[in-house]
Amino acid sequence: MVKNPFLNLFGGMTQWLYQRFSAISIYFFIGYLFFYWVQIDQVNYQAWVQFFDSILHRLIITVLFLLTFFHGWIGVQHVIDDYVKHKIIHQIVYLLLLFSMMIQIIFLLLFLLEI
Amino acid sequence: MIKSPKNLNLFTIRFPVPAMVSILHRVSGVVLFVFMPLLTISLYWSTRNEAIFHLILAVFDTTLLKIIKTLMIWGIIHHLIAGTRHIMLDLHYGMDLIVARFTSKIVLIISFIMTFFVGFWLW
Repeated sequence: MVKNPFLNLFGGMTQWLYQRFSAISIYFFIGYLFFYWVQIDQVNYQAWVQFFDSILHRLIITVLFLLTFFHGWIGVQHVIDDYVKHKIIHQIVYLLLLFSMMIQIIFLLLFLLEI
Repeated sequence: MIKSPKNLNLFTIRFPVPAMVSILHRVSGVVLFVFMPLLTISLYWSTRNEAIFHLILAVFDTTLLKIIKTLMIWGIIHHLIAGTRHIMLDLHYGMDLIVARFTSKIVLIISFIMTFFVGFWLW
């Protein structure tokens, strides 16, 4: 059994609750975006940029992605802990996913602040 | 450390339909997590300028990306529907075995039908 320092930060009950609450909030975000985009007949650069011109929309997207990372990171850790038994491969997969998430969060912050 | 079950060998475990839905929930979650960079990084670059926006559209129109898009759309649809079912089960709705089996079949059927239609529109 490989020890998991990240998951040990929260107990099982906390993870369980976080997972449900993040899931339910993601529903609302996806619902909002879905109904917004359904009303637009043609997506072109103009509409795309106009949508993201509002800081509120950029914030909604950023929070949606951050919630998704939070939800996905808890979930993916359980999957890795269950199926990747080899100690070193386990660590490598962890680091790769963590690294990919960090890069994406940097891109999201750049996107949010329009840098 | 919480003790978890030892035998998780996917080739020796029998798979009733509710178990299929559950494992596909995991699979779809992993698929979405792995392909997330595609969304975040193209989101960032698509708002930079018009040339990059059109380049990204062209890249997303290639066969490889169409396959990935179809996978992700299946992932989102299945994850949302199966997730709703899991939350309903957590709230003790549909706990009877017969009902649970029935809803798991419904989840599988609806997610595949919806993926089929979205995929049809996508290709």
